[in-house]
Amino acid sequence: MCPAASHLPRRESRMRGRLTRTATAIPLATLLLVTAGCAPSEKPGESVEGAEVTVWLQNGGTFEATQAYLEDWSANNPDGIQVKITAHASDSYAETLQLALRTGKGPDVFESPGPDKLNDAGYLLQLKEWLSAETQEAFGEVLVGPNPVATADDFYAIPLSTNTIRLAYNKDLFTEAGLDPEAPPSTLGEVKEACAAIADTTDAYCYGLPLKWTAWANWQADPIVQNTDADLSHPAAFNRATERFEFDRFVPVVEFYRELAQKEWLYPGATSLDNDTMRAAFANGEIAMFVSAAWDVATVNDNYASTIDWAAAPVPVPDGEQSVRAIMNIGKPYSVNADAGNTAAAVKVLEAIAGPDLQEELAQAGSTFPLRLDTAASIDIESMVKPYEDYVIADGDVQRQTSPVQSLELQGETYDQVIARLVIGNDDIASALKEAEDRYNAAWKSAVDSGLVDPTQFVY
Amino acid sequence: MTSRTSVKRRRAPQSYRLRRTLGDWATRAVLTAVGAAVLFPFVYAFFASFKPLPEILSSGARLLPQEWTLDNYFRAWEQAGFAQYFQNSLIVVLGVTVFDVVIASLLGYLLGRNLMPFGRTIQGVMAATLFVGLGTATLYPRFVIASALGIDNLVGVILVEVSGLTVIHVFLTRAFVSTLPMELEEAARVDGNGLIGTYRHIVFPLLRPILFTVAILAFESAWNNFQIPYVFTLASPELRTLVVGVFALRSTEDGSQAYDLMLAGAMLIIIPVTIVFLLFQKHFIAGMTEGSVKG
Amino acid sequence: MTVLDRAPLTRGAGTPGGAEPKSPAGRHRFDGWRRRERRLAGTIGFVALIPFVLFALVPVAYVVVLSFMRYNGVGDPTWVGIHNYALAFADSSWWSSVTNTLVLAGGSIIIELPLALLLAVLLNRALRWTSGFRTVFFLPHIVSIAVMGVVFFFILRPVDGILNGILRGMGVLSADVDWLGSGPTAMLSLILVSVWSGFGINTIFFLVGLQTIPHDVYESASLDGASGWQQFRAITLPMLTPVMRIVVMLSIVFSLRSFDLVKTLTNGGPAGQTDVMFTYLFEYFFSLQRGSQYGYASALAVIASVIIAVVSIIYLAMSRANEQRSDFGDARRRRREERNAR
Repeated sequence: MCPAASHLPRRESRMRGRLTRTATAIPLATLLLVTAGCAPSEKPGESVEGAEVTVWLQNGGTFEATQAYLEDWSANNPDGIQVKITAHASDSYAETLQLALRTGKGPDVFESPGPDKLNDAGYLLQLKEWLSAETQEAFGEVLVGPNPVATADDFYAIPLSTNTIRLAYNKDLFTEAGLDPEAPPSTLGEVKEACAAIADTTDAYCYGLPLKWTAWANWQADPIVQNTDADLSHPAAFNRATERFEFDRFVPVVEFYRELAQKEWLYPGATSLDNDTMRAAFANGEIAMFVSAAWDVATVNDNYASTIDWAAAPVPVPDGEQSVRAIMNIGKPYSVNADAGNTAAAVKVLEAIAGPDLQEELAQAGSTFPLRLDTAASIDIESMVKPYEDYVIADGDVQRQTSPVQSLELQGETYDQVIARLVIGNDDIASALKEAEDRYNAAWKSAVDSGLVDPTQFVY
Repeated sequence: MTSRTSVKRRRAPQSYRLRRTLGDWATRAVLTAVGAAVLFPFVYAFFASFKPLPEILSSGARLLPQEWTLDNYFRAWEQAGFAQYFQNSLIVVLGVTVFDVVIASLLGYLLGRNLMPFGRTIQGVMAATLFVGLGTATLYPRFVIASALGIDNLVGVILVEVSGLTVIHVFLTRAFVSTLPMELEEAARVDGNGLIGTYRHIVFPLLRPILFTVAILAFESAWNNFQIPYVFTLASPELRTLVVGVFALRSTEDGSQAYDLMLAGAMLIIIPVTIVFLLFQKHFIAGMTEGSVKG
Repeated sequence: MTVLDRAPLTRGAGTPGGAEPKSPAGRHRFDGWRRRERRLAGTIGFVALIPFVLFALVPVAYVVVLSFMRYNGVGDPTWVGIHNYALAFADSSWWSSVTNTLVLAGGSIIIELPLALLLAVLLNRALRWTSGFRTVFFLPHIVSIAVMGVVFFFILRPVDGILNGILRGMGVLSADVDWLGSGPTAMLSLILVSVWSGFGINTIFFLVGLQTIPHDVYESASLDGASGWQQFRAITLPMLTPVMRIVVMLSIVFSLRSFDLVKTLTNGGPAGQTDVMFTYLFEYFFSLQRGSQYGYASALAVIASVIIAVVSIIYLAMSRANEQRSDFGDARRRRREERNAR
């Protein structure tokens, strides 16, 4: 018998979550064993025949293929489930989704960026007893938390792709500058040396830093720091062991970017540069390096029709530090609405999206780095366009742990705004970071004390 | 009126005309320069909409495209389902204009002639809401109220947009009403008209010039409004208006923006409202002139 | 003084309780049909106000109430009294954004109004193509500033930006300027784009105002030998005062409420140096870098409204005081009183 936890009203299921989290391990394990063998059940009396399921997708690389697949599926699936697809602009997708879910107008199945935040609000269906064993096995460990898509005992989103983080660099420019294109820099100091060489011998700019992009720090500042210590959670360097934010770790990163800015090795207009324009310039051979994510492969190659010879290397570390891991982020999580019209039908649509056919299609097109184990195994990496293989999950690539930033009531500048200000200006780095760190730690303490966050999610 | 300067004779016609002509040319020069500066961004956007995306991002300095393409427009039209959105925009714009004109004229009359109880209070409250930015902060409650009333669709969009225009437009009509001579209304009363009759037969026709102005302002505001139709059509994309549709073309899932589609879409949005204004601009200005909007 | 007060009016034959002349004490003002009419007016008026009440007043009240609560979108809001306001007073980034807003508004108005006035005067000379120019000047106002914000972003780019290209071509610049890359130039860019967008409607307001000044006033001034400039100062400016006051008031209010322009052009950058009040508080509704704080954002919205109200009231008070001082103001006041007494 499968427990019907997801039928509880939202608040109760959240409380249940908290209670079971504090339960001891043995009954938990028993529960897991029991539920692992459950097949998805239909709500008593609710049939999936001819049900209509609304799906939201983000406008972007995988949109067309996914839409085509779902339309086909909708026409041909044996239960006659009708799928209604809507596309949304992705830069405001998170807000749109939140607003829709908040007002009860949310879709049944949707891409769910920031799934942990959505789950806290109780919007997401807990999937463990709904999803088929086959699908759960196909994704394996990534569905076992705690991580952005799962708590310790359940999960609420299926991540379809992964974004490994690498230093993207232009091999042509390296050659031109007299650097070895097969030996990219591995520390910040080496990056600076490379920049000096490139500035001397080429017209190109060394580094692309898109400060206008609201997530720039998450992808270009945090990874450098996060890779040096396995206890750090992302973003903003919250240490799970010491239970505090440690912004002093950002000092070398800030100094590094400030030096690049002052020596004019950064692509001009960094402060008004968004990720797009920067990548277009990279694709054009105007920029030598930037810290990139796997999604950049399709963008640089396809969207910007690049002709450069480029590759990706591990993210550099601050001088004197060692890299103990390479954080990556799960991408493309999909979830089901806890209040879906027809839950069973919605789950079937989710299974179709996460199923081997679509995943293989997307993977073959180079649009994703599939997390589905059988699909990942089936890709012939050699045949993919360069530098796809550089971004494939390797040893050391580890899913990032989420820090509590998204739940904290912070006023004033956020850490990325402080860092951006320090990079382009001349303020004292240590004191500015300390001031921000104090604010963040105070907010953390206040959130824990008031019960706003459950500390066990974020610390050991 | 005595002036501080001594009385001078009228200047000789020739040098006066010369000065006047120079003045005319100087005027034309200034106006043209300003006009060119004003038009430049439009011209730039126009040509940019024919460039393919990589060129937009990398060859911004060139005005004319190296590679002309109509693809942006085709894709914008198709992907954005422009035909449907165009229709929705028309519905919203017409709805807003009609409601706004009716409400503004009624309230302008009732408040301008002090016919309503609490007239002063109402005007005070309306003025107070001017200071509040009816923006993001009020988005959620407006949507909730509309949902509760079951009008979280284009009807809701229309009413919410009207609510945002009421204050200023009532201000305009009220000022206009206060310049109308009362004799006409009195005559109407003498003829046996009540409140409604006077309004229908006398006041409303007299208000025509300012109502034209109000209508045009309502039109362009409703045409360009983004936030409200956006929020209200979240769950029903088939109800989207043109502006919302164009903005939905952006795709930054992997951090990239479809500027090419946005520019083409932007051109498609600008053209209808420009045409409307071109056609009606005389009326637009006449409305304000005849009303002689005075403090 | 209303239509209803004029004496004597007969509603028409056969109306009971018909026309009573206004008694000296005015006590019978709303007898009988007048009261019925007032009620009818009230009903119609309140019906016409329904959209405003429902979708403007109530939401504003909601925001005010929410400003005393703590709410992150999950669960129920909890009452925290003035806690949010206390936090706001301590929030230096907020007050920076307030300063930025005032600078943006002040800068725009100082440039825009004289420009609009100048253009209105020029247009008033009624040369050919006046209506063409009018349309051109008004175009920026009728297109969505959010869309044009993107266009300007491209125009102002440091690399491959066309403005830099033009200025360098003209020899004004020797190197590319990163217009949006540093605080002062970004603010200047915002001000100029704001002027570009808004001067059209103000030009038209002024033009309308100018056209209400009768020509004979100018003619007699010319006969007296007053020069163009003297005429401008002694006739045009004073007679434009009421229009000017409206224009400035509306400009103040709308530029203090700036959101779309800043959001699309700079998004508050670089590093928050062009954040204005409403782009700053937007973050507290939708941000991935901090927890949602709807209560705090509402408090900020309320503070912003108060600031706008205060600035507007200061301006009104100043302009009324100015008017008292001018001789012409006296004449105008006299005429206004006459009109009201009519």
